[in-house]
Amino acid sequence: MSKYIFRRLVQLLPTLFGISLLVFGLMRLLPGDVVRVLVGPELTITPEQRATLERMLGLDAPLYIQYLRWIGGVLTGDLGVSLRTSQPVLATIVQRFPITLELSVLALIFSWIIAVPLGIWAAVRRRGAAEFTAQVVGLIGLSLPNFWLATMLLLGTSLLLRWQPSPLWVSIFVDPGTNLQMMIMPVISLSVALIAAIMRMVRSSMLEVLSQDYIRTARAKGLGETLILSRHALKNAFIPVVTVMGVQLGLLLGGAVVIEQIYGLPGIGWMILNGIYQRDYTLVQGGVLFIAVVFVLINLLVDVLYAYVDPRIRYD
Amino acid sequence: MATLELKQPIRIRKERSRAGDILRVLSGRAAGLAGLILVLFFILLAAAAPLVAPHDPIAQPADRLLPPDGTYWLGTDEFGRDILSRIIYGSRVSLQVGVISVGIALLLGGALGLVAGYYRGWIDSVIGRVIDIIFAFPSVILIIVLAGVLGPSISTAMLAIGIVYAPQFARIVRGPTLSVMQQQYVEGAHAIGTRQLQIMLRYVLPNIAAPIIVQATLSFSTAILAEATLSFLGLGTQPPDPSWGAMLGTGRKFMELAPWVAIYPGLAIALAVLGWNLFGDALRDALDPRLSQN
Amino acid sequence: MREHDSFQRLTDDLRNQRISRRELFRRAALMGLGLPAVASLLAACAVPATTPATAPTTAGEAATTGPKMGGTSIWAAESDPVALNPITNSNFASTQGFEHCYESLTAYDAKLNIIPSLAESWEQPDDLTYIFKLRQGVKWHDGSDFTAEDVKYTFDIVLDPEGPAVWRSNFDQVDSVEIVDPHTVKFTTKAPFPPLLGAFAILRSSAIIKKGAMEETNLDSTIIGTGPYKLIQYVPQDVIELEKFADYWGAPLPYLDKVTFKILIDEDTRIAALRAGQVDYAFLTALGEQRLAGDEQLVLIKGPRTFLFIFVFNMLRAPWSDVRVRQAISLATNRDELIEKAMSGAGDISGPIPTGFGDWFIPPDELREKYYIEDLEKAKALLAEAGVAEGQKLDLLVTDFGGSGFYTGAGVVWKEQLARIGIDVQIRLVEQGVYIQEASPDGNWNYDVGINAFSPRHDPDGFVWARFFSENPYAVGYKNERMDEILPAARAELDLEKRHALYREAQEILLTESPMIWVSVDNIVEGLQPYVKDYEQSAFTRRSWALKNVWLDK
Repeated sequence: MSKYIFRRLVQLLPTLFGISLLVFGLMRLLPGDVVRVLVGPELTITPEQRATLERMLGLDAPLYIQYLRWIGGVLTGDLGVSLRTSQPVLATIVQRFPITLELSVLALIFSWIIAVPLGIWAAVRRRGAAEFTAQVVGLIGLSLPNFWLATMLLLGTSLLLRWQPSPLWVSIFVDPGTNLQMMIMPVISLSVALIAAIMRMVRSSMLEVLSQDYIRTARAKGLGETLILSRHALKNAFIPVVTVMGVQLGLLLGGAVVIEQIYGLPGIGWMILNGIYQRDYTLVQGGVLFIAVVFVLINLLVDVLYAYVDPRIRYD
Repeated sequence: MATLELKQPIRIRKERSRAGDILRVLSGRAAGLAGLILVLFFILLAAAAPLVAPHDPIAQPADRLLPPDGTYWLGTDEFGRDILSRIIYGSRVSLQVGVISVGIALLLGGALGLVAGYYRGWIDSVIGRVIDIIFAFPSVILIIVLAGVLGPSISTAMLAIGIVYAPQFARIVRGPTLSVMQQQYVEGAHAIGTRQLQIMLRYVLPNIAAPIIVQATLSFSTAILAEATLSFLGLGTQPPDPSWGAMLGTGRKFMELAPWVAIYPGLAIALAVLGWNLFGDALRDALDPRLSQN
Repeated sequence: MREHDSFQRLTDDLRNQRISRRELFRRAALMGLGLPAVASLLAACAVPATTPATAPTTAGEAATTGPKMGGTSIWAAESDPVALNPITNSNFASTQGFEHCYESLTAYDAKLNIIPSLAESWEQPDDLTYIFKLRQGVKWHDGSDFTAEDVKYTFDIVLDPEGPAVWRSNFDQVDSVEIVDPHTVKFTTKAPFPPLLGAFAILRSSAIIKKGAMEETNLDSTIIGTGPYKLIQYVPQDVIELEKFADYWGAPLPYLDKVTFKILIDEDTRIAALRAGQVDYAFLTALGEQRLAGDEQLVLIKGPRTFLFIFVFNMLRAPWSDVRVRQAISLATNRDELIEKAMSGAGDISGPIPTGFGDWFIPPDELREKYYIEDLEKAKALLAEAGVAEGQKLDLLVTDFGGSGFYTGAGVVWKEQLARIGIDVQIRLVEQGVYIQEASPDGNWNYDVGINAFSPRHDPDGFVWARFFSENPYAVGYKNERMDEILPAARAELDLEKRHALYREAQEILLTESPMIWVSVDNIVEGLQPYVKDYEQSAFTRRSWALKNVWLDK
C-alpha cells in the first residue's frame, strides 16, 4: 500500500512539471504582454520607456531564464509577485483560495445531499413514470447554463424578496451567518448542474450493482430490500461515485470562474481569469500551479481510498 | 461477503443480433423514445434550417424587443432580429459544436487510451502524465488561453472543448484495452502473427464501444453548455452568428423588460440537452447486457 | 454693504475650497439670507454656478437641513482598478480607484471647472512660465508635510523620457520643473501650452506622490496621498476601503467616515444590491435605468458622459487609405440606429470633439445637416470610383472594454448598415489584451476597423493630437498637411477665440476626410439610495468631487 502511494507521489512530479511548462508557455504565446496592457489601447511609450517597464517587471531576461527563476522560486516556496499589483502571489492565493474552496465544498455537499436520495429512488423504482420524472427534473438542471441561473436568482431575490446578502466578504469563521447568506445563491447556481449529474451517476451505479448475482442471491436468501440496499448495494455503488466526487471537487475549483465573477466573490478562479486578461504572468502561473497541485492531491487521495477499499483495483 | 466480479464482462464473440436487441430495448422504454425523438427533431431542424426559418437570422428587420406576435412568433431581440429564426439556425451551431468537440475528444482521447493500453510500459506512463496534465489544468482557463492564442472563433472553441474532454475518453478506453491485452488469447493471436490493428479492432473495440457511445452522448450536451459559457465570456461564436448560449448570455440582461429574449434560447438548450441525455441513458441501459436480462 | 462683504468672504472661502457650498448656505442662513438672496448674491459675486440641471438631489436641498457628519457607506464600483499606481496605469478604472486619495496641483469640480487643489493659486509671468503657489499646512496621510519637493520628485519621474509614466505625453511641452521655495514651484514650457492646467486635474500620471514613494512603497496597492480619504486596503477584484483623513486640508470635509467600494462587474448584481439596499450607490447603464425605472425607493441621476464612441480606420491598409472609401462608409453609417440599438437610445451623436465638452464641439444639429447625411447611392458611387468591388471584406476588431454595450453591439448593427453598400463586415470579437496588442504598433495594426472609445480628456487637444497629427504613431496612416499645421498651432494658442477657430477648422477637415467614424457620446445613469445627499454627477465619471461633498441623511 505504501509502495502504491509512494509510486503515485513520484508520478506527480512530472505532471506538475509539465503543467508549469504548459502554463508558462501558453501565457507567453498570448498576443500582447503586460507592458502593452499597462500602456493600454491608445498611448505610446518610447522604446526606452518600454525597457524601463520591462526591467521593473523582470521581463528583460531571456524566456528560459525567466522560467528558471520562477520555478526556482516555486521550489523554495516563493511564487513571486504579481506583475500588476506587486503583491506576493502566494499571499494572494492564500487569501483567495479558501473562498473558492468553501464555494466548491458547499456546492458539493448541497448537491450530494439532494442528489443521492433522488438517484437511489430513481434506481429502485426502475420503470415507469417515477423514473421518467426524476430523469427529466434532473436533466433540466443539467441543461441550464449557470450564468443564466445566476441572473434568475438575483432577479428573484432582489425584486420579489427585496433581499440581497451583504456584498462584503467575511470569512465563515468570523461571521458564519453573513458568510452563508452570501453563499446561498452562488452555491445554488453551481449545484443545479451537479445535482443532475450526480443523480444520474448514482442511479446508473446502483442499477449496475442491483443486477449483480450476489444481490439476487441475497434476495433469494430472503433478505429484506432495505438490508440488501444498505449493506451490499450502497457500499459497492459508492466506490466509483467517490472517485467522481474527487474529480468534481477539482473541476469546481477551477471552474467556478463565471459564478465568482457574477456574484463578486473574490475567489481564485476569477483571480486567474483576470490575470490572463491582464497578462499578469506570475499570478496566473502561480494560481494554475496551485490549483493543479490541489487537484492532483485530491485525486491521489481518492485513488488511494479506492485502492484501499478494493485491493484488486490497482491500475498496473 | 467476498465476491469475484470483474468490472466489465469481456466479450469474445460478436453477437450479431445486438443491433436488434438495442432497438427493441430502446423503443420499449418511454424515456429513451422521447430522447430519440428530441434528438432527431433537432438534427432535422438543423439540416432544414433555411427551409424552416421564417426570417434571416442575422438581418434586423424589425423594432427591437418586440413581444411575440404574428410576424415574429417568438419576438425580436435587442437588435430587432427574429428570435425564432435565430433559434432554428442556432441548432446548427449546437449540433456542430456537439459533434465536432466530442468527435475530437473521442478521437484524441480514444487514440491516447488505446496506445497507452496496448503498449503499456513507459508509453503508458507518459500518456498517463499527459492525460493528468490536461485534467489538472483548470478547464475554463485552458479554453480561454487557447482562444487567445489561436484567435477566437467557433472552431477554436470546438478544438478547445475537444481537448478538455479527451481525458475522459482516454480513461474509458485504456482500462478495457489493458484488460484485453492481458488475455491469453491475445498473446496467442500475436504469436500467430495477427497484425496489431486487427487485434485492436477485433478484441478491444467491442468492449469499449458501449461506454464510449454513452460517454459521447453525455459529453454532447455538456459541450453545448461549454459553448454557452464561452459565448458568455466573449469567446466562441462570433457575432452576429446565432448561438443559443450567446443569445442566453445577452438576453439575460433583458429578463425584466423582455423575458422572451432569453427564455426561448434557454428552452431550446434545455430540450436539446434533455433529449441527448435521455437518449444516452437509454442507450446505456440497452447496451449493458446485464440490465437487459432483468 | 456689510452683508455683501461678509458674503464676499464666504464666496472666497468657497472658491478656495475652505468651505463647501453646503456650509456657505448654512452660514448665509445664519446671516439671515434666504435661498433666493443667496443665489443672486452668488451670481453677483461671480462664483461659478454648481447647481447641475440634472441632479434632483442637490437642487431643492439648500437651506432645509444641514449636512450630517459621519457615517459609513458601501458603493458598488463597476470596474476593477487592477492596480492603483498613478504613474504607470493608463486605465480609467485605476483613476477612479485612487482619485479619492491622491491630488494634483489643480482639480475638477463636478461641472468640470478647473479649481485650485494642492496649488492655491498660480500666475503666468509670461507665456512659457507658470508659478504655482502651493497650499500650506497640507499633510500627507502618514503625517508628514507636503512641500514643493514632493511636486518636483513626482514630475522628475513623469518627465523622464525613459521613465515609466505612461501618460507622459500629457506633459510633453513641459521643459522643466523648479523649486522656488518650499511652497512655490515653477513650471517652464517649451511653447505656450494651454492644456497644462487640465493635465493636472485629470490625474493621469499627474497625481502628486510623496517624495521617495516610488522607491520605498508599493505604489500598486498602497497609497500615501493628500486627499480627503486614506486607503485602508485594496483587495484586487474585491474592495477598495477608504477612511476619512482627519488632517485633510479641506477639513471638515469629507463628511463620511468610511467608504467601501465593492467591485461588482456584473450589472445584474449591482442592480440587485441597489434594490435591496445593500449598496448606497451603483453605476448603471441605460438598460439598468430602464430596469429600475419603476422603483420608487431609488434616486436615479442621468446625465451626459464625455465618452466618445468611435470606429477607427487602419489607414495603412488599402482600401481604407482612400478617403472616398471612408466617406462612403460614413454616408452609410446610421448613427441614430447605432445609438438606438447598441446604447438603448441613451446617447447623442457627436463629431470629433465630444458633444457636451465645453463649447469646443460642433452641435449635433449642424452635424446632421452638413455631415451625417445618409446617402447610399452616393456611397456606392464613391466606392465604385475608388475601385472597391462588391463584397469587399472588412475585418472589424471588437472587444468588450466594459461600461457600455456599444463595444459589442455596434458591430452587429454596423454590419447590416454596410451590407447595403456591398461591404462585408467580419466581426472579430477578441479578449481585451488581444485587442490592445492588435490595435498597436507592436501588433502591426492587424485590423481594418476597430471599435473603441475616447475616455474623457482634459483638453480638446486630447481628442485629436495623438490620432491626427501625422507624425504620431497612433495616426495609423493619416496625413493631412493642413492638420499638421493646425494641431501644433492650436495646442500652443493661448487666445481662446483663436483656439476655438483652429479646432473648428480641424473638426471640419476631419469630418470631411473621415479617418474615424465618430458615432456618439453616451449618457450615464447613477443610482443612489434616497438618503445619500448632495451627490453631483460628473460628465467624466470622476467621483472624487462627489465623494468629498456627499453626506448621508440617516
